[in-house]
Amino acid sequence: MAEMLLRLEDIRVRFRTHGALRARLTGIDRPYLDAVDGVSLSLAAGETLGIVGESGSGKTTLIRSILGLVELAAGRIWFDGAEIVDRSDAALRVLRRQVGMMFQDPVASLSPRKTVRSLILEPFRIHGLALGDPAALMDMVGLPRALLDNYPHQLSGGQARRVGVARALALRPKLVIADEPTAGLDVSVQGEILNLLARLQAELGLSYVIVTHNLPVIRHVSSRLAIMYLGRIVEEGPTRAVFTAPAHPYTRALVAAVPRPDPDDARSEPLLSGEVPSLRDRPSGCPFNPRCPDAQDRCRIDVPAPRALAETRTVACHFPLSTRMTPRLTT
Amino acid sequence: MTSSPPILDIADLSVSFATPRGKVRALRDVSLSVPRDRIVGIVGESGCGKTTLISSILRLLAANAVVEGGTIRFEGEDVLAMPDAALGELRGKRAAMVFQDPMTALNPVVSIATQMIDIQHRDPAPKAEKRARAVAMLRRVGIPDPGERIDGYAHRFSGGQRQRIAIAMALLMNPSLLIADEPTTALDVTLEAQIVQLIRELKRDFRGSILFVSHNLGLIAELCDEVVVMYAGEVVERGDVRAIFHAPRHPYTRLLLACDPARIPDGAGAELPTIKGALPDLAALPEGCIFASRCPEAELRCVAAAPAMIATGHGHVARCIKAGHG
Repeated sequence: MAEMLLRLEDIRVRFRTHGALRARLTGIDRPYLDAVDGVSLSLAAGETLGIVGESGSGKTTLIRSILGLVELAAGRIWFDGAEIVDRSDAALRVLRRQVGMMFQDPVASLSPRKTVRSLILEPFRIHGLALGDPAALMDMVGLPRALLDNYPHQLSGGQARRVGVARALALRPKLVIADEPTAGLDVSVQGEILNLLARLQAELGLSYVIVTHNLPVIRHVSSRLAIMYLGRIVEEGPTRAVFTAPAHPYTRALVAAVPRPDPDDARSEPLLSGEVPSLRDRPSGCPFNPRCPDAQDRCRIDVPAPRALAETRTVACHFPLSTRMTPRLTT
Repeated sequence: MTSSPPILDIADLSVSFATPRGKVRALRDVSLSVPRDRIVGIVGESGCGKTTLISSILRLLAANAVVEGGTIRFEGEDVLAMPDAALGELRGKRAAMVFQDPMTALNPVVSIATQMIDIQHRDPAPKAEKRARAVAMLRRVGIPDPGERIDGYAHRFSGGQRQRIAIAMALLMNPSLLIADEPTTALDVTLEAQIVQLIRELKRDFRGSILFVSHNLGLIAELCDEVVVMYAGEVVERGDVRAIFHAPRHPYTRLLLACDPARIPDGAGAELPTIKGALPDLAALPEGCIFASRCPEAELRCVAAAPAMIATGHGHVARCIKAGHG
């Protein structure tokens, strides 16, 4: 544990759904919903952790809570050997200097009225530091220097994403958190961004937390994988092991739902029925039980706690799948 | 299958847009056909002309668009020469469309029932019958308690359910062609699988043809009978789904398939394949092959003159001078 760059313990993020007075008057005893409900994770230096889940699984809220962009209801966070106890604005500012963030939708996250030069120097200004060399930053992320005076709308999707990488890396952080780094990109460009992230990781010794719903992509870039469902981690372990032998029925369904790019390789696994329930009416017991083909009585009553499956794998399921079966993602 | 005429037959279609930068030649010599009872997939990256093509079929092109040449025939009729009355009939009744974003496809201030009854305005049947038809269609696409929920508004339905409703509305008039433009892009993977399953079942039940536009190669492989690969406004390859995926003849198709992370075997750590370079400027087209500047197999003769479509057998064609060999 001492070697971990980032460690999260029992993180909870809670959003209020009703005002305190209204809740008392109308007799609602839980006037909130738990978007992140007891997540523990850790990341070693130099590693890439993938967090995968569908819309509403809480993956974006989880990473935003690390940087103090949403408030923690409970839980402890250690970064680079020290616990982050002080979550005041000043203390979080110091943390944000060491943790870069790549936001979803790079074009929308860039101010349309600023030039690329101004955008990639913005982190220095925010933190009151001496300005870095914009040309060097452009070179680092493989953007032509001629684009320095362009505005975001003049960039292609891939170029805007590279500006996002430059902004995240401007202050030389140890950790970069990327929220859907390739969403909306064409496959030929997606590879370029992922290769860039891999090269910078090797050159600068970075660690990554990558949040995505794209399973084929995360398979190629992450060393560890955490699968989220309704604010909880249902399975965690080495990427390859989780893909080739999922232990949680939800992971199995996710992997099986990825369309295979081969007309002769038909889906064989049954499809998952229904949709992710609302956080407002979280099912009792295991959050996955209403959609789980293997659910039994106990699953509707007891919440399964994460338990070790192997030395580096955990699963939160009362009846984990045999880890010897091997569904396929690729052919 | 080849005996009956195709539902949709496009031949040598060229469309350009007048812009301040000059003429942008968005589609050039596009030919494809959708046979009865088949699903034809159009695959291509941003800027390949998918959207312009769909807009042309329904005559929904922007005011600055000019059809430079070619024909579009829908069940034998010339779409480009259709009078407005016939166009109204074409859009929605004979050809229906399902859009990418289910969140914006439905009117938020009108109940689902009203929208589904209104869409049948060409049918003289009484309102009660139209409502019953709408309820039955919602049940068919898997909306629970359709009799009650039909009176609700769009915000009461989840994203997946909204796309089901959009599909139900498209099928209400029993169209002979369904055009689906990236219908699952906004959905999560488990919902995407459900919608694909639904489209496949519906195609079997309603015996219509589908033009399925997607950038997702996995979905195309899973759902389509035939595939049209587009690049920078041209059809570069066209053929049976197995031929395209197992024996692609155009270098662009091969590279596109190679880039799909779902096809890359577990070789963690290795560089992911990419397609070097950028799309050509459609306002200043190169002389030769449109893909030559990015093609790893390009030769001098590729940049000298634009290649013709070469047939490689069984309806498989590719716009590459080397397509005939090896």
